[in-house]
Amino acid sequence: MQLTKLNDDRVLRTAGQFLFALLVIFIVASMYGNTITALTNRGMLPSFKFLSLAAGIDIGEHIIPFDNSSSNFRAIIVGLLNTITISFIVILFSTFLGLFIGLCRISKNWLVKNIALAYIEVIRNVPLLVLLLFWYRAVFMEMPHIKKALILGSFQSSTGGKGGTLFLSNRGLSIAWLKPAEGWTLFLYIVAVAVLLAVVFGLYLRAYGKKTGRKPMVFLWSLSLVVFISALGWIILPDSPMVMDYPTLNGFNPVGGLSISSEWGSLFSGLILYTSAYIAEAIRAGIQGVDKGQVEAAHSLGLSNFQTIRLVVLPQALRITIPPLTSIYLGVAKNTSLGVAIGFPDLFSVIGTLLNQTGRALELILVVMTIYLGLSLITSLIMNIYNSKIQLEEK
Amino acid sequence: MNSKIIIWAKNNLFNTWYNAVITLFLSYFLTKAVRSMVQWIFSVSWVVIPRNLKLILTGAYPVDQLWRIWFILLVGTFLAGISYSLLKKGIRGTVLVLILVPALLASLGFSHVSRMYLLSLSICQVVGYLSGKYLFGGKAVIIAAVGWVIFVPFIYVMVNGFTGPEGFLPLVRTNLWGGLLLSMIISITSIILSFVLGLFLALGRRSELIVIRYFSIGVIEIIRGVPLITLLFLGYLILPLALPANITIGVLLRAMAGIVLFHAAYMAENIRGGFQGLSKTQYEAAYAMNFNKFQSMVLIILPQVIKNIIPVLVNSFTGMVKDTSLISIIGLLDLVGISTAIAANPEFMSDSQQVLLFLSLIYFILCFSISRTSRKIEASMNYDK
Repeated sequence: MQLTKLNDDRVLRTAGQFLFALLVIFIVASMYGNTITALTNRGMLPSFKFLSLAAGIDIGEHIIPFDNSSSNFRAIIVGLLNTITISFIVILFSTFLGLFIGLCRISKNWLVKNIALAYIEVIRNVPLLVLLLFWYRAVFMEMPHIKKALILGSFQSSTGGKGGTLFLSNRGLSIAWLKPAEGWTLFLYIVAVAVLLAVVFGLYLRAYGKKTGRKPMVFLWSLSLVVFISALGWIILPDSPMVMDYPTLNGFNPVGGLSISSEWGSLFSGLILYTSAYIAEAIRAGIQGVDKGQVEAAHSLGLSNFQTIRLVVLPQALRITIPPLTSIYLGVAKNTSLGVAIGFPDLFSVIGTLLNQTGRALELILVVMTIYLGLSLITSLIMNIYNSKIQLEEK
Repeated sequence: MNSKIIIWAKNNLFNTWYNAVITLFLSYFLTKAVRSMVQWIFSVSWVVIPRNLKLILTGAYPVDQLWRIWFILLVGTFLAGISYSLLKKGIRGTVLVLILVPALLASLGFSHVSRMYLLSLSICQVVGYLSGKYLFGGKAVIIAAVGWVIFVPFIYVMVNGFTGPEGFLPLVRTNLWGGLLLSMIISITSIILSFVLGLFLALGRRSELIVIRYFSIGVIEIIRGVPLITLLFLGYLILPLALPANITIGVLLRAMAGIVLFHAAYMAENIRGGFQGLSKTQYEAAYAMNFNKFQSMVLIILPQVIKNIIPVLVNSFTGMVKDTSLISIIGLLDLVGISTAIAANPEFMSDSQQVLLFLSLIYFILCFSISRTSRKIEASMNYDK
């Protein structure tokens, strides 16, 4: 009796799952069939051959060489690189800004605390798209025309154009920036040696720490060593490794220096504001999540304020902060796709342009979803490794 | 009194020398910023907002049919009034604000009809509150619950209409829906549908049947790995191809499909969190009472899970309201889409700052009040325990 009932249950379960799988396959297959029929009627059978054809588009910002005879595939790579670059920079900057605001949020100064609170509340309750549009249309597009650009420290350049330390117009921002010069390679060697030395020094410090039971700040000391040696090298080298490159106005476009387009600037500013508000909240929650007793215990052990924060509060706060921080970082890469609304050529905008050009909707959407999935996977992998490192080691 | 303020300032603003310096610096910059903000507000022309207010709020919805929207609002505020009477302490202030806002708006100099409607909104809330408290008595809970359940289909029927042009409720095509109206309709629909879909996905993810479990995990993780806009484009471009040739679906439904699918995956994770927060003893107790799996899920587990995640649910509503803004990218005229269209109008070309600021303000008020509500509900639930 018991056996037959068990058997029945098993049969039912297997049959149920089998039916479910059949249903899913049926739906997917019929959708796929419909799509193929519809595409055949339009004479556009799905194929990825178009990727190697010339794109015939111009992309304003590209890290690798690109012109309108480059292939569609290369265009997608350009977009992907733009997405990765801006995500990386945004994550970097907004982590620092978020940390700062998160610390302000728990400040004992009422004014500081409430300004941080107001910032977080305002940013978190406005859609990112509106923020981006605001930066683009209400800030960057309202800048003066390039002919009347705001110029800081202007001078007459040798080529006859107008030079300056900073150009600000509705085309974007150009600022004087360091450019590698003759001594650059030599300087890189010095830095490499410094890093090597620092690693050795760091290992020694760690061993020393283990032996004596003290906890020297390994990373900080090694970093200062690198900075110190590099600075020394910079001064000693006969040819300066880098020179200032000033932007000059030739015709309508500032040449030289570091130039940031309005689109890049808007996406950067909007994303940083948006992301840092979320990071600030995650960090505040992390720090407030550490039990007060921990701080009191550390104080009663005679640890200084700084030591308490570095050795007791921060490691525990990180444990709480990392999981939400991971999803925020994952969100950044996805949020850059909103660049399409302000014309920044990120991955999604490039795909959108190619979509209009080639009409290959199915293939391009598959490509873009796969790439974003891959990016998410890599990011969460890295963060998971970091997370498992700082979590409690339970014995 | 005076000394109290001084003591407070001493403790909170000037407790150490560096805090005093920071306070002074910040106050200086804050005054400057506020002053230049105020100067800017008075230096630009705001005529673009009142001239386009109807567009921003309802898009191209026919003017002679606007009473339908007002009617929906009146019914909604009445239901809200009944609901206030059911809520516990700590929410009085919010209620008062909600009642006063329409009345205050009415004093802003709208047309006579709008003012009357706005005043009625306030009155409806008060009437709802009083009748919930004194008239319905114990039945108020049931009336409110049934009312809210009917309310959503009611919105559709009212906004969409069903009769011919001469009838009582003439049909209004979805391409005429726009502005705040469209944003809200999409948000409300997506929260309901994505909750239902998310519930199934969450249950699937917890299922012991491996096919169903891996199917749910796959769907959830793929969707969470891609940006919303790719799903919107998937719905916009591929869905019409994937459906049988004789079925055509409008842009609004396609957009909705993308949004619902996207949020369902996140909702599923929230619901899963609710499941994990529930003690194992509940399952065991249900088992001990000889409930079968279905019964224990529907009668014991789900009610508790849903109750626990109500604050999260309300909070994710803000995310939904914010995310609907993306439909402007596929050309729908929601709040953002309509504002872009207004700013592109040569007459208001120079007013894009004002339009965008007003837009942000609408979103802020909406989302801020929703998230405040969620916090209030959370607090009142903790108070319960």
